This record gives sequence, C-alpha cells and structure tokens, in this order.
Amino acid sequence: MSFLAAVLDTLLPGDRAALPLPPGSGIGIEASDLPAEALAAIASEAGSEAAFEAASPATRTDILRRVEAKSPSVFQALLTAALMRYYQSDAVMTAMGWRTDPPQPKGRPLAATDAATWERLKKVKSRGRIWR
Amino acid sequence: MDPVDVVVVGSGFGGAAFCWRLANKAPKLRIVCLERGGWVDRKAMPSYRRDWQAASFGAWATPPNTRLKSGEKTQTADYPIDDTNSAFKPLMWNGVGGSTMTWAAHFPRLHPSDFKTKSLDGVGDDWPFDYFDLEPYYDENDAITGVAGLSGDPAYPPKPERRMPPIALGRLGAAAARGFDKLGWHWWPVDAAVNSAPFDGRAACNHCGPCLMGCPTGAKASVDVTYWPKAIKSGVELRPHSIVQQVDIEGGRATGVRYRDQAGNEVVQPASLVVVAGNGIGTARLLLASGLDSPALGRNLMFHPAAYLRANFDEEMDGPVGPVGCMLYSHEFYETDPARNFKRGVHIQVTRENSLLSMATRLGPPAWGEGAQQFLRKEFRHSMAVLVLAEDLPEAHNRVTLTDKVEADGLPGVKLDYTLSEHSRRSLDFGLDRGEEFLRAAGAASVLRIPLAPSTGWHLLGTARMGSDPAISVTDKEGRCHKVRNLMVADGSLFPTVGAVNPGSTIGALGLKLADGVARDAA
Ligand SMILES: Cc1cc2nc3c(=O)[nH]c(=O)nc-3n(C[C@H](O)[C@H](O)[C@H](O)COP(=O)(O)OP(=O)(O)OC[C@H]3O[C@@H](n4cnc5c(N)ncnc54)[C@H](O)[C@@H]3O)c2cc1C
Ligand code: SF4
Repeated sequence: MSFLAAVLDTLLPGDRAALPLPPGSGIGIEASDLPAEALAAIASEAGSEAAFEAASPATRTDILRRVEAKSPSVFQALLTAALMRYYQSDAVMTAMGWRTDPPQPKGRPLAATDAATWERLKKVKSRGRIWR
Repeated sequence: MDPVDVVVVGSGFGGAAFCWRLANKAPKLRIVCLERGGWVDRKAMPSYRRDWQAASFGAWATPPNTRLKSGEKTQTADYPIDDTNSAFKPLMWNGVGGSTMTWAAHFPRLHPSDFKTKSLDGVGDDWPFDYFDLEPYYDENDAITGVAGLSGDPAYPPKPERRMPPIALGRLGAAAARGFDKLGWHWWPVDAAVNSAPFDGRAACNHCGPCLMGCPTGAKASVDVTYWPKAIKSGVELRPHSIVQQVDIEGGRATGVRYRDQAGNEVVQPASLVVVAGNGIGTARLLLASGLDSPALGRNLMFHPAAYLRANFDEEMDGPVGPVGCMLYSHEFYETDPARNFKRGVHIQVTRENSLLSMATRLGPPAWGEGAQQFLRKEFRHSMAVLVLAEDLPEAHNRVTLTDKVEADGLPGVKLDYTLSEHSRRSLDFGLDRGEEFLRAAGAASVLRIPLAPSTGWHLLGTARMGSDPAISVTDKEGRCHKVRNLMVADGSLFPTVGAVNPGSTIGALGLKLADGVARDAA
C-alpha cells in the first residue's frame, strides 16, 4: 500500500455494508488533489512516508490524531479536500443509497403530505389563539 | 450625472420593495438603484453541475469571507468582514437581489408582541408602530412574493388565504407532526416564499434541495425575480456593478452619492433623497464612512442566536430533498412565560437534510475514520435537524465599526463585535431542551446537541434602528435619519428588536411602508 493510500484509508476506511463504501484509496484521489503541507506533516510525524505505510491501522490513526492536534488548520485542509473528492464520487453516492445526477434540471421526488398529518393539524387549529 | 429624485443604495429585499412601491405610488419621481454586484444567470447556477456539492464551499458559500477566500468570481461583489470577535459569522449576498439570492425563503411574520417587548415584558424596546400598522404591508408583500402555506395558524392573527398550498411535508414532516402531536404542542407548516404551484410566471419548486446556492427554476422568491422585473417596468433604473463609496452630506442635507462604476470610474449621482438599503452591515459601513453623526449608528447588532439538534431515526426519511428551510415549525414557546428564566421566547423549526458532502464535513462526531463514516451511514436519509432561534435583545456593545484599512472596494474595512448574552444563552438552552423533548417524542434513536451554531449569521439587524430619541436611535419611524432628514434607511438595520423569527417578510413589508411615506410627502 502506498503512503497516499495509507493516509486516505485511515481517514476514510470504507465499510462492508451490503452496498459497501469504497476505501478512500479506491476512488482515484491523487496526491495532487491534497495539500502537500499536510502530507509532509504526516510523514514527518511518522518519521517517514515508509514508516507511516508500515504502521498498523491503530498507529496510523494515532499519528493522524497527533497531526490534527498540532496543526489543526493544516489537517483540516487535508480532510476537507479528501471529503470533497470522496463524497462527490458516483461510487460513494451510490453506496450511500443516493443518486448521482445533479439536482437540476430534473429535481427530486418528495412525498406529499399524508392524511394522518393533516388530521393532526386539525387539533392544533382547534386550540385557538396562542399569540399575544 | 443628471440629478435624480431618489437614489437607493442596495437591491436586496428592503431596497427592491421600496423601489417598486415608490415607483407605483409616485410615478413622476425618477428613481435610481445602485447595486454593488451583478445579475445572476440562473443557467450558470451550480445545481446543474455534477460537482454542485462543492460549490457551497467556494463561489456559492453563504459567508462572503469564504467566497472571497476561494478567489472564484460570480456576481456577488463581496467585501471582507472582520468577524473574529463575533459569536456569529455574517452571511449575505452582494449582488442584484441581495441576500434573497441565497436565502432559505422561510417567510414568517413577527408576532404582534414582538413590536412591544418593552411595554409587555420590560426588555428591549417598542417599535414606533405595531403589527397591525404593518399588517396591510405584510399582506401586499405576500401578494407580490407568492406564499405557499396554510391559513388558520393559531400562533398568528388571521392572515389572508395563502396563495399556494404548503410545500409537501414529506416523510420527515409526517414524523415531526407525530412528535408534536404526542406532546400536544403547537406546530404548523411554514409560510414559504417558494412556489408550490406555478405563480407569477415562475415555475413550481421541483424539490431539488440546495436553495442556498440560488434557485435555478425561479420557484424561490428572490427579489430579482419578484420585485425587480416589476420595479424596472414601472420605471426604476437599476445600475448593477455600482459600489457606493459615500453619501455626500452638506449642512445637514444629503446631496447625493459617489459610486465606483464597473470600469472603476468615480461617478457623482446627485439626488434629492438618498435611501440606504445595504443590510445591517453594509448600511452601517456606508453611513459610518459618510460621517453620519448618530451615536446609535452601528450599535445594537442582532443576529438571532441559533443552536441545533441533530437526531437520527431508524426509519427512512426523505434525504436532501425539498427546500431545506421550508417545512414546519412550532411556536409553542414563542411568547413570554414568567415561569422561565428569560423573557420572550424561542422559535423551533424542523429542517430538511443537507447535501451528503455538507453532512460529511460537519466537524464530528467524530470528523474522520471509521466512526465518522458509520455515523454518516446512520444519519444520511435518516435524520431530522431542529433549529432553535432565540431573540437577542438590543445591546449597544454588539456593533459594527470601521477599521483603519481601506478595502479593495474603496470603502473602509468593517469589523463586528458581538458576544452572546447570558439571556440569549438561557433562551437557547431552554429551546434545546424543548427540541430534544420533541425529537424523543418523534421517535429519535439518538440526539446530538450543537449548543451554538456560529455559521448562522443570516440575519443582520438593528444597526440603524428606528425610534424617537436621537440618542439611542438613528432614524424616525419613517426611516428618515434624525439629523439628515433627506437621508433614509430601508432595510433590516431599522429593526429596534427582532423577535425570534426570520426577518425577510418584515423587511419587505417595511420597505413598502416607508415608500408610502415618501410618496405621501412627494404628493
Ligand atoms: C444563507 C441565507 C439564508 C437566509 N434565509 C432566510 C430565510 O429563510 N428567511 C428570511 O426571512 N431571511 C433569510 N435570510 C435573511 C434575508 O435574506 C435578509 O434578512 C434580507 O435579504 C435582508 O434584506 P436587506 O434589504 O436588509 O439586505 P440585503 O438583502 O442583504 O441587500 C443589501 C444589498 O445592498 C447591497 N450593497 C451593500 N452595500 C452597498 C454599497 N456600498 N453600494 C452598492 N450596493 C451595496 C448589497 O450588494 C446587497 O445586494 C437569509 C440570508 C442568508 C444569507
Ligand atoms: S428546492 Fe425548490 S425552491 Fe429550492 S432551489 Fe430547488 S426548485 Fe428552487
């Protein structure tokens, strides 16, 4: 596993649900999509890129936590960049049970208000004035 | 430039309503509106693009500071706002239509009691007029805007039949209604400035979701599609890309304004009446920069303090569908109750889900790793958010001031100082407790409290308040500055107090009322 994949999979490990979420390394995110400063900070915290790659998942998580605590804005920039790519990818949207087409021009279906809800509203109306 | 009768600064809700009404009531007046930004092309809105979710972090972010940082250009001509000392971060749009371009279009009125907080509850101040003085203007504003809703709400005096039926409540609404019903609390479908059916040449909402990135269909009533086409037809000249630098004041009278046009030239626009409608920050900034001498100017900034609850349900809800802020609300606790440890009340609003990316980028719990992904799995398409809005009372130390810097737009920099009062904190805590009680009754499996939501500075109010005492107010009840009678304010800055509901419908109604005053004087 490359250094980049190790970082991404620590941030976004994915899951094994019926429609599985892919790991962060599985949707084509490149190093150039992420802030170099943050990747360098992780390598430096781990000792080297290779050391991070070789570490266990628990150790990698600890290393990221330490970077997050020491350089919150640098870490935040990395996280946002990774999340932006990940949660906009078709594979992830589909795994989350959502659609991949943009909101327009088709719009989205929305269930009409049901009869039980209208019935409940009658009780509210019958309370009479509550403003002063 | 040839002199005009009236120059209006800002084409947002207040400016648009004012211009339309004045042009119709006093058709002989020559009216020019200067707007710092441009017209938005609906076809270029992000909701047509596959990467639409990312736009809310860049060119279509709601905070102007984030948009400026992104470096991406749209039709909003933003200026930086130093908000480091403010509990809430200001949100606005600086182009034709003002902040209604990105608003959620939730369209409540203030309650009658909101106009009399001092005499009823001994806090805040009374407005110089009451709900029933404003009522005909609320009605007129509703008629132009187009409201989807349902009459008969016991939380308000009777309102005219709503023009369109309420926006569909969906599965989320059904679950929320169940919860309120169980507790026997008030709830009602919101008044929405969104077409639930075609109206006024605009399409019906197709429930696409991200209204805060502009509405591509025009179903959402932003004033660029409601008031402006009508105002222009009635003869108002709207000049976009015109950044007003100063109101010229000589010997206690305004003589006109100076603005920077799109080419960067300074233009002098003489006018008999100057009306500023740049919102609670833009108006204070311009009037302070113009040297208007008024001790209350820039003070008493109010936002509506906000907190959230996020609840997960086992049952499946609607997902990020439908106008996000327009569903249903409860005013069970809106009016003062002496048994509570604060005066006034809270607005409790159930809102729809945000985009998947927005939900994923909330900071926790936790922000990343397996736990974050599993939480999002449980939350997405299974969540209900409750927004608690409180009434922040006017406090002189909460304010807008100028910095020593001159910004790229030629005006002095602007800074906010705003601290959350103990009173507001108590109101929010009470609202959060009630919100949690409601969510549990609705069947929530888990509830997460967000005690303060800093990125909710949607409502920028109170910095040029109306009143009768020049020591503590900037304008009279007609919006005319006490010290410069032909200089007016016509936007949310005028609010002496703010209630606990969104201000758009009151700002529009106020714009209409003030225009009638000018038309009367001009007759
Ligand atoms: C994301 C978001 C969601 C919201 N949701 C709701 C909601 O659901 N319901 C609700 O009631 N309210 C909502 N609001 C608030 C509502 O949009 C505002 O309260 C309302 O638009 C304010 O009207 P205004 O006339 O005071 O100012 P604005 O509408 O902000 O207009 C001010 C205009 O003045 C212009 N201007 C400022 N300075 C200058 C200058 N020097 N020269 C030229 N032009 C200038 C600006 O460019 C801008 O166009 C929301 C706001 C935002 C940002
Ligand atoms: S949900 Fe409706 S109102 Fe909102 S942007 Fe989409 S079409 Fe417009």
